[in-house]
Amino acid sequence: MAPIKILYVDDEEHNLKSFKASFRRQYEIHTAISAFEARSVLTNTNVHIIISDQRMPQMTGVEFFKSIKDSYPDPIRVLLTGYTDIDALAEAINEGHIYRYITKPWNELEVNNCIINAYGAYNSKVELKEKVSELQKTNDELNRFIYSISHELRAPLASALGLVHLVKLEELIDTQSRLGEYWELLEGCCNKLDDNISKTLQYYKNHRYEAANENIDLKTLTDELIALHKQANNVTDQVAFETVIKQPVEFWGDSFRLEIVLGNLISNAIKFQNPAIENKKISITVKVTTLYAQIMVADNGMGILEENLPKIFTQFFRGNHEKGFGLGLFIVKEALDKMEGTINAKSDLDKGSIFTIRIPNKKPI
Amino acid sequence: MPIKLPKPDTIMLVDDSSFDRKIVQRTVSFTKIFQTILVFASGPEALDYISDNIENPEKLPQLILLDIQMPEMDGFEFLSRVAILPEPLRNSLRFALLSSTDDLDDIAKANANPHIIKLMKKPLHPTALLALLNEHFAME
Repeated sequence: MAPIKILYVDDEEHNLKSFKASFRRQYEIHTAISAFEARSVLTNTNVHIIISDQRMPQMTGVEFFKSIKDSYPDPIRVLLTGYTDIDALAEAINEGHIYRYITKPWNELEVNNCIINAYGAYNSKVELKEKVSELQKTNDELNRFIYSISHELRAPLASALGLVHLVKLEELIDTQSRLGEYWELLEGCCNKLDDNISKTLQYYKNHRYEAANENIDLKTLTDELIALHKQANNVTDQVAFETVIKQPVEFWGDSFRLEIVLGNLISNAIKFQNPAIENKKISITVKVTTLYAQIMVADNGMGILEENLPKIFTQFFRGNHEKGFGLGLFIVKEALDKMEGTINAKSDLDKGSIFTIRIPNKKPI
Repeated sequence: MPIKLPKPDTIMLVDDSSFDRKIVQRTVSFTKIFQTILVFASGPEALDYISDNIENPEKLPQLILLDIQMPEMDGFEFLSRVAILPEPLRNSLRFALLSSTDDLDDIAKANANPHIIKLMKKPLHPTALLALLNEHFAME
């Protein structure tokens, strides 16, 4: 095993000598007669522990420790003081860069124990550093992996959907035929897969991304999301959208998570329409105040069974239909939790659902 | 609000996926807006074509649809190369990204780039292309 390396700093020559004499058999001892000399030792040797006398002419021990705090953060620092130096001690401890102090005159056993403990602290510190950088690396790799897998899964799927659309655009298939029916199903499968991929990624990103605070225009956001989900679900005129947006003041929040929340609610409102109803309608009402934004998404769709209402925000819960993946509302809830927002659901089976969310306005002062 | 360009007759697609080149090309021709559809499999090829035809503006596109993730030169790098073209030429071009990405960094980069008029999601739908054209070109 490599020896423990100690730097001992003291302005009195005979102290240096006696320290070296006491410990040189167990440890690798470097000595320095001043802070200046100590620094030149540090440039040449990676020491584990620095023990410094407090009372030295040009620079005190505490001052010396302070001066090397940033350039040499790893070595553990121990201060040697007389009983009269309590003020200096308080300062050193409060500023957090000494590990322990030993009062003078020191005895060998005490110093030895201190060295053993300090070396333990040094190892934990280094280990922690290594773990953190390892974790950072894994994290970066994971993010890169997610980025590329998201592209690798998405790109061919988008191509497949493009082809599916093209066949319909070019009217190559009689929509009334058996092939036309299968074609619709195929498109449904592609859309569902696309949706599942984006939900999975949303779930992942919601967990990992730091909350942001941006100025959000709710009208633009709502219109964009409606257009996006109408296209994704092939809605043209079958569903009427009604939006009332009252935003007299700026709204500040996390636009990525707000998009997740609102996007999922809009997409659900589109997906869970009631086929029996003629005038399918989705209305979105937004009200912004200096304290919060309240957004209500209401539909006249199939609604939710009363007994299911308490369960809709749990992971992998799916109602009595095959359309969902069981992640959408769970992600909505998780994203709202990160924004300190709330959600409330009301629903009548076969009549429709109303989701009301409220998110604090985090406008910086 | 930048001024609308006159009704375009030439569009350029840059995409490394042979599938998508075919699909986007067919989707674009479905709109019957463009007389010429230029198709390139990589950024450098497309840039070469543009610089070879600087003196022949009739051969140049008015709208360029650009994939983001491409080996060798990605869509953003392509755009940074385009920035060195002479200004009058640049002003006669509009760029839109066409990608299946929903990566936040890509979206932020696209929003921050003044040369990009829109980040469009694959698959491209003719109605989305028409809406884009109406917004940035005098289509009447």
